[in-house]
Amino acid sequence: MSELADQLRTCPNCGQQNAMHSLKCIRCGEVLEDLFVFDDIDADGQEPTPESISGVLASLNENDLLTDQTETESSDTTESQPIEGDEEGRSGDASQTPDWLERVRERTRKEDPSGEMVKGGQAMDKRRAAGERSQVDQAFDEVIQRIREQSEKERKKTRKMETNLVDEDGVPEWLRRIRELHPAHEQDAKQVLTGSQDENFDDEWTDEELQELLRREIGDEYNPGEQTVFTNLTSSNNPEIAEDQSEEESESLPKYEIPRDFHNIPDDDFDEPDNTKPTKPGNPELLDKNEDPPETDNEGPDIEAEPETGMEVQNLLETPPDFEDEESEQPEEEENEEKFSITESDQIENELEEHADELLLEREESEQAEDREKKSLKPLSTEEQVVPDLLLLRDQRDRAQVLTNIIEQEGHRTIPVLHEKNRQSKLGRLILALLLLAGVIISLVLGPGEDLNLPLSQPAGALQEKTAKLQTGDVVLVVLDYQAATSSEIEELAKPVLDALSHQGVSLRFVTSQPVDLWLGEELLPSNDTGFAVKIEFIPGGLLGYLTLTAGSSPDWGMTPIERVVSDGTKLLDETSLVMIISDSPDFVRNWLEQISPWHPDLPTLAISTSLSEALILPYFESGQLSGFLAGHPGGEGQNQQANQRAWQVGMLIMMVVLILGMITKAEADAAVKDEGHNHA
Amino acid sequence: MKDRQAVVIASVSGILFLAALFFQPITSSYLNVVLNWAIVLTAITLLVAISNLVITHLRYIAVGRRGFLFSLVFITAFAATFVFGILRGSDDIQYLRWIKAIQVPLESALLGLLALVMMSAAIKIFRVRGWSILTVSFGLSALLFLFLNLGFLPIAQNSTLFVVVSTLQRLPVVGARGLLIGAALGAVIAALRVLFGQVVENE
Amino acid sequence: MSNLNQTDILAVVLIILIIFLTLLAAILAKRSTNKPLQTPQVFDGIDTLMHRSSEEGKTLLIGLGEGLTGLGTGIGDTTGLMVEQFLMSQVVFNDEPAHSYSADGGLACLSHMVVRGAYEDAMATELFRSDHNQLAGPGPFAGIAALLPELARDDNAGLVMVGSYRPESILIADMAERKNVPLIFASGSVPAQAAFFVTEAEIALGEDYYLPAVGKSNQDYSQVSSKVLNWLRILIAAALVVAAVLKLSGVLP
Repeated sequence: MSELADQLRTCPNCGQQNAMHSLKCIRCGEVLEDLFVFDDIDADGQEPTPESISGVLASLNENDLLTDQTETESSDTTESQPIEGDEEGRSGDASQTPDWLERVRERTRKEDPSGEMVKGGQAMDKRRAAGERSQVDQAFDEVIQRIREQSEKERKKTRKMETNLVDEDGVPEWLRRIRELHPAHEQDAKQVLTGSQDENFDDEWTDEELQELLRREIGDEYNPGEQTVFTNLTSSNNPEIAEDQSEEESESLPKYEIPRDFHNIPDDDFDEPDNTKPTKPGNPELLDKNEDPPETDNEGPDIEAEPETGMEVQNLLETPPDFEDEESEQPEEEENEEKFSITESDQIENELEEHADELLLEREESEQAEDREKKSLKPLSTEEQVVPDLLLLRDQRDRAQVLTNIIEQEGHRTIPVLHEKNRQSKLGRLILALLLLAGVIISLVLGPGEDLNLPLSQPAGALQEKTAKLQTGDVVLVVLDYQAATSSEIEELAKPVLDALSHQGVSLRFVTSQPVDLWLGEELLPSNDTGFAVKIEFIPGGLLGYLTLTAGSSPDWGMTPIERVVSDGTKLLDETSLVMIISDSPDFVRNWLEQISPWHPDLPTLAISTSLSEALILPYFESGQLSGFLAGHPGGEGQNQQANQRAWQVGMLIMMVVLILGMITKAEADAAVKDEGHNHA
Repeated sequence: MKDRQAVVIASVSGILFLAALFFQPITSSYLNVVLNWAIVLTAITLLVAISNLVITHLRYIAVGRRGFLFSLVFITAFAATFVFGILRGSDDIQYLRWIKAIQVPLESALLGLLALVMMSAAIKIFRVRGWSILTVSFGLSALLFLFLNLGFLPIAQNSTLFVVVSTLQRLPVVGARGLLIGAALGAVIAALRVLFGQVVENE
Repeated sequence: MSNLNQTDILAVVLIILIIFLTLLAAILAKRSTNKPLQTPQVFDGIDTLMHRSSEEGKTLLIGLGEGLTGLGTGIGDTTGLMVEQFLMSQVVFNDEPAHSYSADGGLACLSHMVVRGAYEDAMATELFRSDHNQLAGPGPFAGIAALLPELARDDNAGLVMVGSYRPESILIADMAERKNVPLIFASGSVPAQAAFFVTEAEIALGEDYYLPAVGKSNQDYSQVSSKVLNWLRILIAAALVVAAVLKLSGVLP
């Protein structure tokens, strides 16, 4: 910012306070005088007038390029007259040509009569501008878009926050703010906003009213020039919006004549040629080009911008072009043209005419580019889909798309699965089930049920040997621990053994810690050949109960609760010759062998379990902790019981076939994948 | 300190109990008493859990939660079993037979599904887990032992075959021992952690 | 009443050795800069499932098994409670609360305390409800029967089975596969591990079950325990080899 921020200068045109070193007024674009004070012109320190602005350029007389003032002065009087005449003809004023201008012209005539220098410079400028125009224009557009988007976002935020705020009159906060910004339009707004006084105000807004409001707000928030551009453009090129415009609104709006092809609104929202060349009324070079009468007559001053460098763009941002009161500005501009034009000469006009053609060509090219750009953008379909105030850059559009995708994925799994899920065919499972059922049923119905004479397994032989050695009167503790699901398998294995023991005259004591075994174990109770009823005793606490009765001793002060429940509980294993565990869980057998048996290492332990437990119980048999066990089909005579071994074999065969089938299908699938890979390669 | 009280009490109790197991018969009565406490606590926890379950399902019925009909069935079955047990006694043979007649078919049917599940799992295992040492060895050993248990081989008549088959049948013992040792070691470490009150690090 | 026998003495020596090795591993872990040992993949899967349930806003089911206090006593069943504690601390504020099911009374009560503690730590006791963790049944098959209909619901993010299980629990795995519910199984029961190996579940084999480390929770303990287990395996293997040599040479009877 200016170091002399405290010092401001007033624009002679509109009275706007400007910074000290501003070249142009920030409001009207008027080139500010008095920046350079020339001794011979503004020595009195008078208030700068438009005419005295020539003093600014008079300092250029001190420039090396302008060496001999006297020479130019002498020739100015004679040669400046035609120029003056031309200028007067252009401007329509009979003002005298300033001396400095005459000197400049004289020098130009003298040094570059053919205008080569100017031509070269201008050509160079044009070439550079042409080359950089697209970049600069693009940059300028992006900057302008960014500014618009930021302002739109802020406006949306405030609009959103204040949507529900309603004052005492029932007028929403956002409407009140708009009215404050546009006091002149309040009446129109009231005419448009019919239900503004009602509490259901928001519900009565129509799309047209909303668009009207939006249009006003956009015009208020942005530079009035943009608003004018918007207005002009909409009225001329967007009939939908133009229909909503009323004459009163157009009259109330400041009338700015802006060239038709100028606007700083991106083309994706409006069907307008994207004229990325803002006006620079104060730019002498532009003014030179704007001196083409036909164009200015039809469409207003040609304010086609040709910013040479990014600095000019930056200057434009800092001091945006102001298009207010452009009509009143025009005569002043024309006057200033004479004063500001550095390279003004007779040939400049000719060059301008020549350049005008080039400008036309360039404008056509830019229009074509804009049309192409518009085609690539999404066209406006309906009013409801249009969000004219949502302007996105390309990267912002991409980010919005990513966010949309993320929102769409909400509720769906994004973390990869642990295993790739394969679609399970229900038909396949049904076929497998039917196959198994058919095989088993057929073997049951048709197949013989005789004994297969399987060899006796070693653990089963050890169990038979152990039980055969029991004498009459020996006590065998039978520990029941199986579930109803496995009762059919367990009972088929245990029943013959227990019956045999009972026939030997061995006393059987049944205990269980599973409540379910109280009624399941009834099947295992021996027949009442001995004459006394055998019942199953419940030991609470599971393994803890067995441990209590085994490891603990009765205290001197009385009986513990478990001793009250289990008769002679502490002597449970003391008076036992053999422990027989009937369990469907290998864990229970293991726990008994590890926790209970060490307290009575001399007490042999046998086990009857399902075939599932065989593999885990076998190590304990191998180590001698278990004296013998029966699991699954142990073999030997009389082991078929009621289980049809043929059906059992059929089931095992079907299982083998299915396993092999699984291997084959996997191999085939891998081969198919390999073939596909080869084909692709 | 309040958070540590429970941990200290638990660890001291566990260490004392472990020491009592080793210093028999001096600590035998102490063991008996402590284990009785544990058994009573276990029974109470089961009662508390059952009551919580019943209350939860009653709440489901009252609220009309989706699937409350199943809760209604559960409450009805529980109430009938409880009432009949109280009225007729848990030793009544008729009562026990009624329970058995309902429970055995239900659980047997559940276990019967296991065969179908194993069959479908057998056909999918290689597709799911691919070809690896574990899956290939699993498949081959399953086939081998299924075949051996079929009884097709004349083991009794051929002594050499008997030796071979017996040797093969004892192979699982080797793996089982290793598994059991490893599981026991892990369990001991986990138990010692609880015994010495190591606080779980939770971030 | 039994005095200390050879087995008891061996057990005491083993316990003292384990305590010593644990302390040594803990000290070395603080000083060592080596790369940490890889945690069992099953617990990484639990961590993933936990995050997925938070992301999807669906219910996370936790099965704690049937062991601990009596009927189906399982060694190391406290691991399931530990894992539940890790999970609950992360899923307290999920859209749908996690539900845990136990097939043992004592386990259900302890689970109740763990869940309530998690809500209290998160200062969200008003969100706790007693039906978030229930007794599935007094026995293993009752627990299976109770868990199957819970899997049949549509809004399940996954099922974590940690604890003592029977091989028959594979029925739960089958239901989970048919309902496309991710399943993670960790148990100390070897037959159950073998049964679940044929399913699509992520399983913990061997003693991986005793090394719980979900996410960043309990990583130090898991690392120390892993090292101790490694050392013990080496020692036991060496002892077995030595014993075999002595046996073959006739030194040992």
